[in-house]
Amino acid sequence: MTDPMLPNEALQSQLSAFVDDALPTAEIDLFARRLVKDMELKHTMARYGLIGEALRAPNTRAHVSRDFSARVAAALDQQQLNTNPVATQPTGTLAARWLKPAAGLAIAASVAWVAVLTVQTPAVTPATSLAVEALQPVTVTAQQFANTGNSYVVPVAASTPSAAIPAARLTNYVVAHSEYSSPLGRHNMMTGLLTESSATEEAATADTISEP
Amino acid sequence: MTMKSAAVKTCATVACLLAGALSHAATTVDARAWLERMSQALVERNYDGRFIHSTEAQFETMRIVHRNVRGKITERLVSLDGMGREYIRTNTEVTYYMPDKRAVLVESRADSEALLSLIPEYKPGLEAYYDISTGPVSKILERKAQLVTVQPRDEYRYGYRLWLDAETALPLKSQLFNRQGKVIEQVAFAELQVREHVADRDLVPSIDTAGFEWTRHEIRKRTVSQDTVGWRVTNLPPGFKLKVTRLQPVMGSAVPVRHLVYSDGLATVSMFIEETVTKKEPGTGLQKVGSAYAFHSDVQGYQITAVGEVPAVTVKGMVSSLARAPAVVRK
Repeated sequence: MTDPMLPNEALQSQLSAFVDDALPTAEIDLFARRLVKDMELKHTMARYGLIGEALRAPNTRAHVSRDFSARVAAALDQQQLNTNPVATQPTGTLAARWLKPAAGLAIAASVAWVAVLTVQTPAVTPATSLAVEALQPVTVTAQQFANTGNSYVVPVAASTPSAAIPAARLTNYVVAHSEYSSPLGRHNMMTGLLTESSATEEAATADTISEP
Repeated sequence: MTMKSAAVKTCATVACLLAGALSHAATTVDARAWLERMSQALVERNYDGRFIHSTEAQFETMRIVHRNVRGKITERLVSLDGMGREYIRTNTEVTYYMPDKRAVLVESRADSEALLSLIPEYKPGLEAYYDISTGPVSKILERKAQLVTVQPRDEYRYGYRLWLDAETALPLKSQLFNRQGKVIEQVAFAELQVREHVADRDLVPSIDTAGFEWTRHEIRKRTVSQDTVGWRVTNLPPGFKLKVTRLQPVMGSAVPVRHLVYSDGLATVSMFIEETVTKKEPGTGLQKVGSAYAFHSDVQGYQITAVGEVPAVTVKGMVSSLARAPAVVRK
């Protein structure tokens, strides 16, 4: 099988073997390590799970999918633990964790390419195109608010204690902001809000991060 | 080399350079057209799809259902994993369901001219800040997909790689990346159906909200709040301009906050300015929501927050250079 989103042939074979429960134990650790680092591979794994489980249980895909993701996430967590020398575990333990879901994924491997985009004859009704109309700008002194052209220097922030935005307020701001994003940007923002539990859940204590 | 042959060589070089420049210009125009088609398709088409949202830290499966009936738009986005959150957006309302918090947030719009139906125009000026080009056609979901790359020219904005369905221009896969080319976020469809009709039942929330706390906000348009009038970012990243100013009610706040929207034509940053009512120690904080950053700072009795799908340096810089103009007299 070939996956157009996974150009590396060796990796495809490895993935295929993994989901078919045929990957040698010695290679599973290597594969898991790669999975931690490779977003494309993660995506392909998730796609296998989504499609395979949808086929197995079309009416309960949300719940099944949740289980699948949880299993893979657990395996990834395990791998991350394994990369920590303090928490190193024998390969066999990891293999056992990986092999459990692998059997369930076998069906997905053979039908992964059945992911379908069906196009009916769409009746495209143009939506009202609106220009974002800025309110009348407040008059300000030119000297104070002159745009500095193409140079931009980030001002040095005063040294102040760290403080986080309360979770509810941050959610409010993101929802309000998303109204003014482009359609693609809006989808990304809202997807982030739905998935990024950490930023909105424990914001007051846990989510203040340092600038990269 | 004779003078004649040198002249011929020079002409050939100039012709090659010119051809290259024209070719690049053509691909840029083509790419901008693709971006506009994509934005139009995302708003105007009816579609139902499941996609994988991946970041460095995690991936999650999501479902999106989008319906447009003569300009009346309804969109439902559902997280199929984790907390099972979802939101439903219509022309006049955004409802955000948080089963993990047993809460629902509703934002109503006083104006029926929904911003949801806004389709951005990607003007030629955008190319001062992004290198926009088309790439090869490949196959995704067994569909022909046109690659469009939007490469940022500086560190104040992100770039996109978009694989757009050749027929509908819907993004089958998209990647958000930083100036160094590192992918920050990826969205890829595993299944996408472009439909003629989307049934009502597909747009109903799957969450039983019995016992949930509901919070509803009404947006008032063009209401003047003297306390927060006159604020502007004095040192903007190149290309960013003030597009909108409005008032935004906020959970737990008695007075609405001033909301300024800045955009470079592609990326958008919101500034929220609120007068601090309670006494507290000033502080700053940087938080991440998906690929977006939020930076917060308490400045002289005001809480200032910038939110945008831009790098951290941009939101930090904008908050740091926010200043208030002297009192303004309107005639």
